[in-house]
Formats: sequence, C-alpha cells, structure tokens
Amino acid sequence: MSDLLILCGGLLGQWALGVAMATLVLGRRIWTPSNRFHHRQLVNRAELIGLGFVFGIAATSYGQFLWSFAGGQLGRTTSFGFAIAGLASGSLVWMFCRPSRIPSEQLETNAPPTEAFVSLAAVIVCLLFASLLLQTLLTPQRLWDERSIFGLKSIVLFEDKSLDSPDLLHKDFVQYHPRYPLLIPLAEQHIYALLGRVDDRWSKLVFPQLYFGFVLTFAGVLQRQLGPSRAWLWALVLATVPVLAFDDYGFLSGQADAPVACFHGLSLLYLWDWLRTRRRDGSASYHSIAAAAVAAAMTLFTKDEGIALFIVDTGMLVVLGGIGYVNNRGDRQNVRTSVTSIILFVAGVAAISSVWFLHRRELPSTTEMSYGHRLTPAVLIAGLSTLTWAVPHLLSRMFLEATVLGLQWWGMFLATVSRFRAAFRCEQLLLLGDVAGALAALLIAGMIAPTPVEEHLGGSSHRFLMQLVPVAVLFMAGQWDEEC
Amino acid sequence: MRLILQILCAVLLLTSAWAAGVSWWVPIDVRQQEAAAAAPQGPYAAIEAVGFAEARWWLIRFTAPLLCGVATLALLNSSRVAKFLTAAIDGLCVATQLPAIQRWLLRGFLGLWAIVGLSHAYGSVVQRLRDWPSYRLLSGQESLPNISVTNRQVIRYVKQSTPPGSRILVLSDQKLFFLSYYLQPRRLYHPLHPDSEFVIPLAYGERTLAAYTREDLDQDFLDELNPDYVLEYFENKAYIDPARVTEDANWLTFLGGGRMPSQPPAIQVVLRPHKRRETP
Repeated sequence: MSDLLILCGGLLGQWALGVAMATLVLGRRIWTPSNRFHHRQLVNRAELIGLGFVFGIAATSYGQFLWSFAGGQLGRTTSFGFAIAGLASGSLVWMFCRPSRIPSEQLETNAPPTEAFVSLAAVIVCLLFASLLLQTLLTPQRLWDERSIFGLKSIVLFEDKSLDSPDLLHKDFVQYHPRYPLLIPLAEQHIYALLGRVDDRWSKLVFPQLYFGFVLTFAGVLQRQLGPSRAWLWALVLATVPVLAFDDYGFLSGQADAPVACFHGLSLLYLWDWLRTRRRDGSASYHSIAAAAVAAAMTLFTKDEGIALFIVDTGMLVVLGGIGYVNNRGDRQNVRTSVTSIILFVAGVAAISSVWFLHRRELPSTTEMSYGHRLTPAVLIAGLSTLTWAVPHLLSRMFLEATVLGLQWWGMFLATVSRFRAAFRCEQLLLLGDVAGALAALLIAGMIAPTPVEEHLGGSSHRFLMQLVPVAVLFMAGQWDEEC
Repeated sequence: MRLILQILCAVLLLTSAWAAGVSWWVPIDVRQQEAAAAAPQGPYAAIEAVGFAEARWWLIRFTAPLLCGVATLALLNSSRVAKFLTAAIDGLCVATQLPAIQRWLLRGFLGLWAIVGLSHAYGSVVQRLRDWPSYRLLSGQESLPNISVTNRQVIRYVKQSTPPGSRILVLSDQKLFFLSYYLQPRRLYHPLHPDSEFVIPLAYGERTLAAYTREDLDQDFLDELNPDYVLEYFENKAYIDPARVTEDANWLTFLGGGRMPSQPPAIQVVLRPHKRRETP
C-alpha cells in the first residue's frame, strides 16, 4: 500500500512538473482560462491541466535521460527527486501565475446550451479516462513491441540504473531495436522506481495519462480558436476514436504508436494554432511554435517515425512560407515571421534531440532497418513495384476498415469536399500536407525495407495510421467551423 | 423530454434493481457451473467460460446497483435533468451549426461516429471479461500472457534452474524477446544469424529462422562473453538432434512434473553451466 501511495505522489509531482514546463514554454497566458463561460477548472484550464500530464511525462523521461547521460544514477532517489522538484516548481508557478478567480458577475453570459453540452462532454471524457485506467490495470503488457522493444529496456534501466548499462550497449543482448528512442522505457522505469518493483500493469499507467492530457489540451487550444462547444465536440470525437481509445494497440497498450499520435498531434495542434491566429489576427506569439517544437522533439524521442514526421512538417512550413511570400508580394514582415518560425521550430527540435542522437551512436544496430542508409536511387527504383500492393492496401485500411479503425479518414474526405475552399487556408494545408507527407514516407519505407512489403506494411500500417489520427480530427474541426 | 426521461429512468431503475437483486442473490458458483456445462469442447474452453461468467457476474454486481442509484437520482430530479439534457442537445446543435447541407452531413457523420464508438466501447468491455480468466490482476511476469506453450515451458524451466542475475548464452532458432523480457533480471545473449535479422517467423514452423549451433561458436567468443550458462533451444526439425533431445535430465523431469515423461519432448532444450576454458 505504501508503494502505491509513493507512486501516486510521484505521479502528482510529475504532473506538477508538466504544469511548470507548460508555463515555461507557453508563458503566463496558459493560466488564463480558455473558457470564460465555465466555472469548472477542468474546462476552464483544460489546456494547462492537459499539458501537465503530457509535458510531465515528457519532462520526467527526458530529464532522467539527461541526468543519466551526464553520469547520474537512475532509481528511486532520482525519481523522488524529480517528483519533489515537480511539486516545488509547480507550486512556484501556481503562486506567481494563477489569476484570481473570475467573479461570477464578470463571467460572460452565454446561452446555457454551451455550458450544458461542454459539461456533458467533459464528464464523458473523464469517464473514458477512468475506463482506460481500469482496463489498463486489468491487462499486463502482452503485445510484441511493448515487451520486446520498450518493456525490456525499461526493466534493464530499472535494474541497472543507467543508460550506459553494458547490456543495452551489447550487440548480442536479446532486445529488439536497440536504437529505438527511450521516452517510453524511461517513463516506465520511473514508475518501477517509484513502485520499487517491476509490475508491467502499473507501468502502463503512462498511456492513459497521455490520452487524458492529450484530449484536454486539444479541447483547451480549440476553445481559443473555435469556441467552447465546438472545441469539446471535437475533443469528444478525438477521445472516442476506436483505434486510440478502445483498441488493444492504442492507449490500452504499452506500444509507442498512441504516444506518437499524442505528441505529433500536439505538435500539429500548436502549429495549426499559430498559423490560424496569424492568419486571422495578423500576428501570433511564438510561444505556440515553441510548444510545437517541444512536442515534435518528444515525438522523435518516442519513436523513429518522429524523424520523418519532423522532416515533413518542416517542409510544410517552408512551403507555406513560400506561398505566403507569393501571396503577400514579398512583404518583408511576413517573410521575417515565416523564417523566424521555421528557424525556431527546427532549432528547438534540434537542440532538444541532439543529446539523444549523441547517445544513440553508442547503441548497437542489430535488427535496425537503417532506412537512411538504404535510401538510394537504385533501391528506390527497385522498390517501385511494391507500390502496386502498398497503395491499395493503405487505401483499404483507411476507408474500407473504417468500422474497425475509425471513420476519421472518411470524415477528412467529406470535410474537404463539403468545404473545399476552406482546405486552402494555410493551417488546413499544413494538416493536409502532414498526412500526405507521412503516407508518402510510409510508402517509401515499404519500398526500401529489407522485409517483404506485405509483412512490413501489412503488419504495421494500422499502427502508423493511428499516429496520424489526431491530424485528421483537427482537420475536420478546422474545416467544419463557423468561418466560411 | 421530461416524460421520456422519466419513462427511461423508470425502466432502467426496474431493470437494474432486478439485475442487482439477482446478481447478489445467486452465488457465483452457480453461474460458473452453468458456464462450464455449456462450454464447447477444447482444452481451455471450460476455464475460459468459467472465468468469463465470473467476470460478467461481478461486473453486473457492481454496475447494476450503480445504475439503480443513478436512475433513482435522475427520477427524483427529473425536471433538472431534463432541462440539462435539453440544453446539452441545444449545445450540440450550436456546435454543429453550419449551412444547411453541411450541417446534416456533419450531424450524420457524428451519428455514425457515435454508433461505431459505442460498439467499440462495448467490445472492449467484453474483451476485458474474456481476458479475465487469463490475466486476472496478475502482472505479465506472473501470467506470461500471449506466448507459445513451448516458450512458457522454457521460461519456467530456466527460472527454476538458474539464479537471478545469471548471464545466459542462448543458441536458438526462435525469436527470444519474450524469454529475455520474462527472465529478467537474468540476461540473455543470442548471436543473431545474419539470415535471420529481418525475418519474421510464422506460426507452426511455416517459416523458421537460421540459427547458430554449438559447433558454430568460436571459443574466443565464448571466453569474451563468459556466460554463466549456455541454453540450446531449438524447435525446428532442421536443428533438432534426436540424440540430444533427452540430454538434459532436469528438463525432462521438469516436463514430466517431477518424473521422467513417457515420450521424448518435441523440442530440444539443453541448459548447461558454462565452463570457462582453463588457461595453461
């Protein structure tokens, strides 16, 4: 029982650390209620509360990575230290940043329908989170990747208390993908350290927290852009995507695809937020770019797909900058803003990820596909024939397996067709480009991988598509808004 | 709205009260015996059916009274609840307010989304009930889920035969990730044959992996690795030496539950402490 109390305290400290990180990245504005119509904190400060979970897990994992990289020891003391630091920093930002409660008479009066619907949606999201927590504790880790890639590393990190464990560096030590990023193993190790033992049900608590934090952040950001009722409608849609919320490979498992959906989704969310604010208001604070960069770096620190997604998103920012340059007839301020945003995004991701890539060089390359080395014109040409299988397969997954994987791709299609002009807004083009670029990257991976494409893509496409689901939901939210 | 709500709540109250009463009145054993009797043939069918019945009965025992309470509260506050629900529906209409055709397209899409979501939510609950006999509240380290019978046997054998912290060199034609995962804090080392690195094995030996055998090992490699044990674990007939299948008496005793089995095992498992080469 005492172990569980320590675990709860540790997770609270982790959340508080996330709140402090969110304040550092996004500034004091994150403490301003994003819903002036509502009394309840969960709705009022959904973005702050949500980022507490997501950034808390990211900061704890990455912080412990840096700590161990610098020679520090992992383990219970370190995990306690992070929890206490989190509680301290969270308390500090709360003292300095919290606005006073809005007096009731100053709350904007709105039609009751908005408040009732928002309350109902928030309650449903909380119930789904509770259900996820319960189901997580009822199921041990039992899938391939969650045990062979991430779970194995988390146990070795827990026992050896160091990134430089001789076994993690040994080419013959039995582990899958030795060079895979360490956000999930470190997050699970943190739970084992707090608990004092290995129990792979409890380590999966990472994933429902990411789910809840992600949905709340989504609702919070959309409240600023679309208003409370639409924001919570789309948050509810995101919270009920079958492949994320109810499927064994989603947030109910220890696989990395759902966390990639979370971090990549947040990165796109904040880029979308920035572009949309800039388009509508003429300017936007760079805090959103900073948040997008942090989330993109954490995507990279979760799974290698993050590298491809980062390249795609950077490319899209450059393309959109170019379109803006042409549309605004070379307006200097516009150019400056675009260039600054791209530099900030790329520099942020590079700065955070650089230490991971330094460490990664030391890791064995057994079972690594080494896509970078395989990407040559000759290999690409030789792999062209795989497209005859891969393209129909992907389309089938997206549109014919909708009742299993979700209707989001149909929704994206319908939203584009029904509001075609809206799809050309810069923030919507970003999302379309991200999906197109990611799918292209998947097809290229199938062309150059050393395994038959039917097995490679066939066994992983539904999980890769899962990573793009939040982009599809955000796209629908942006298409089907009040703006004509 | 209020009348409809009252009718629905009354039906829910009566149903849940009846379900709560029956679920707590009838012992779980009775339901389990019924499930066992109705189970299809199969080695695990009865266990799964009994476990599923137990999980379902406990779920009803907890959710029925809860629903009863919710229905009662809703009935007693029906005017407020009706007002809230009406307001929430109006809020949903506000959230989906668009020009005419797009509005109905969006609402139709959301309606389908709700149906798919609810069916998946129900499916995940049913799946948890089905999982209960296998997992209960056990960690993976205790239940060894979702691995082959032979993997499970080898894991249990190695666990009982080697101390924690052992370093074990494994020669095998199998993917060993689950062994490595469940045998922690023992550490497994497996020199990967280059022809197996990117091969995905298939069930029932339809595709097997190339592997190193004892004869392929360099003594220098063994000295450098210096394992505590060497485990030879082969399932593919191409690697099984019929003369060595019964070499490890401890393995045979383990398989036979303390006695020698009547038939030789189908797989080759030989676990030996490693003797380091003596330097002259």
